[in-house]
Amino acid sequence: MRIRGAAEAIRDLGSIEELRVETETAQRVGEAWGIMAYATDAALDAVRARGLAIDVLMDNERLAAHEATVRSQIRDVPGAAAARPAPAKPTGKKQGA
Amino acid sequence: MARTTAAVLAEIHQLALDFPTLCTEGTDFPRSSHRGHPLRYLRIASPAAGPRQAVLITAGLHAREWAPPDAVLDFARRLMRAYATPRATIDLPALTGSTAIEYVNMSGSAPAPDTLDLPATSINRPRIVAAMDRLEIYLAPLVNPDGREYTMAPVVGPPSFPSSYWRKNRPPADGVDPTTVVTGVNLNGNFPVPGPTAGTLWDELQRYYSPAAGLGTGDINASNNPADPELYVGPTGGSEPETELVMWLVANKRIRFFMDIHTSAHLISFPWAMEQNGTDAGMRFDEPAWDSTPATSTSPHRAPSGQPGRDGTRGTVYRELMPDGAPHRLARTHLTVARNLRDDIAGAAGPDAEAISQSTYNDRTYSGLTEGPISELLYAAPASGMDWVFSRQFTDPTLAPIYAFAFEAGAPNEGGFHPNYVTQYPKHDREITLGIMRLLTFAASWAPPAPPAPPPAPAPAPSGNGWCPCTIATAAYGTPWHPRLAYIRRVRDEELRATRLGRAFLRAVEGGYHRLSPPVARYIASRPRARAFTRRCVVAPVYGAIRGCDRLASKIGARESRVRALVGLFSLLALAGLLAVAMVAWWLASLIARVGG
Repeated sequence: MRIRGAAEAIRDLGSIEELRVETETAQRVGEAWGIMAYATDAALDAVRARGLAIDVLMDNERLAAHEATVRSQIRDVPGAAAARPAPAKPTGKKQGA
Repeated sequence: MARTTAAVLAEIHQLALDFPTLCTEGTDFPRSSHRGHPLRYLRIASPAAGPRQAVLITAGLHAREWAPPDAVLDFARRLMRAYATPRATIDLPALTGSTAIEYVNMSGSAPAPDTLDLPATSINRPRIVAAMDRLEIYLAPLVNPDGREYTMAPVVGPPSFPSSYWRKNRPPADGVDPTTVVTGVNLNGNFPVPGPTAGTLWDELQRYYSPAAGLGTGDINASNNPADPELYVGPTGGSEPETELVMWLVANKRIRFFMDIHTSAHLISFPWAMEQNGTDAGMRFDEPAWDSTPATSTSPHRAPSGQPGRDGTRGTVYRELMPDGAPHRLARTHLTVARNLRDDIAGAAGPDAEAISQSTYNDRTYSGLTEGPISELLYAAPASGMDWVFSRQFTDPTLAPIYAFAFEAGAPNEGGFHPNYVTQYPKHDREITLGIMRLLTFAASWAPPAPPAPPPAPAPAPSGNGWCPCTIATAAYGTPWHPRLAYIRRVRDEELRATRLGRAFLRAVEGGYHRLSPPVARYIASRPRARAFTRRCVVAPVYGAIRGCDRLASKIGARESRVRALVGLFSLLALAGLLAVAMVAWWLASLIARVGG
């Protein structure tokens, strides 16, 4: 699934009103429009000023707390980091060539 | 817990060790990922004898979607443990009280998360046994290992797009630091559909979509810009080793059922993703009449005048063919399976079922669980794995159709791409288990449709009710199900046969044709070159003529008048054809006479 952050949405759409409409549409079809993406403070302030429920956009503080919690739940295997393959070195060839 | 890439690979290996008679680790795919990770899969089947259908489940194409690879692995262990234990079922625990699902209230003002209680549910033993005894289950739990590793590593990148939200794969950038340069391909937009093509995948998409579609700038989810953080389609279709793994499995394991698992839009989708669905056999991705061609091109293949062509949006003329005819009934079968899956999930939600099947519940707004073609639910998504799997029946008519689905588990307000593994993941896990089991149950109960009845033997005086319009064309294509024949049948049965004049015309044409065609059909049936010649030089022009006449006549509203026009046009073309044949014969006769004289 594709996401777009609130900041990008405002920039692309050009107005907060269109963001509101698009966000409602996105909710209807289930697209995660900005809910799990970081937004600029200015974008969040603009959204608040227009009365849009901030939960739709999930403010950065809550999002950061959520991400920190989930990141603490990552499980690796013992010794995996040491055994992990080294990234392939660039070959100089163009992709797909 | 969320497994790292290494932990996913370790669990794949461990499953094969823990269930040696039921499961093998697939190590024979010859390529590894760009950054050296092996591309592994699992084959799960009981030792019981008997014919089996092959099912492929893929997950983790999009790097940031953490739950599906974990849930597919958890499902595999659950399934095999239940099968190996006498009388066992798959039991999914209740999620209530302290384990209730946490979601973000999307429309209210309360800042605190709310909870959703789900009762225990189970999958009964007959379904488990049927899946294990009648199917070969192939699981590719993590198609994009490099991408997952990147999203789980310490976060880099701008706050507006941190690396934890990376979607694509991770090929090394040429000669530059890959941590600072946006690179990578959207794997679920890298499959060679609508191709194949000799050029780039982008060339093929430009051929497919009309200029009005705004490919690369509009709502069609594709980009030719490698720096696009989400949508770059890659240099060519199937260019990436991860994409190739899926294609290799489908081609080499005789896959008949396919499901690609994502999060978190709460959708159960089926083809097509690149365009809205329709039933017109003439609207296919490989039909050049609808191709978009440059304005300077001299190609005769252009979208009909006044038509917007393929624009990836709903409500316009072009609709990609989703066949629904016997014997496979693909459109209605896909819809039925998707609805059953939706009902399984909603039904297992107990009193809160409405909360996950409706958009609004108790004045709270939820993401609804919805089924349908993805292009009509979310956005046009070209070159997806699901579309490629489904398209193979058209690009190679000798292949049987594959039932293909893309399942978006979980809702955005349940943790999105990174659910809390204590308070949110269990719901993703439950939905994915129920979703896979629904597909397996369908596949295990599926029987190959009876072969179509043979075309009726040509009678000396045909009644005009022939099942197939053309024994020669059937012999040329080797099947009566080729879309061109389906189109001709439609014109015959829905247009001509509907009026008295049309029926009289058919009697006149078919009377002579059925006397001449059987020996010709018998002659070409066993000769590949003759079949190819007939396809190109006989059937294709006739199909083109019928199609052209049908298009011209379709502008007329009343059926009687339309059929009169069709009969008139067909007669004119037939006369022109006879005249051309006569002229060629006369010219040949004159030539022979001159040479002889």
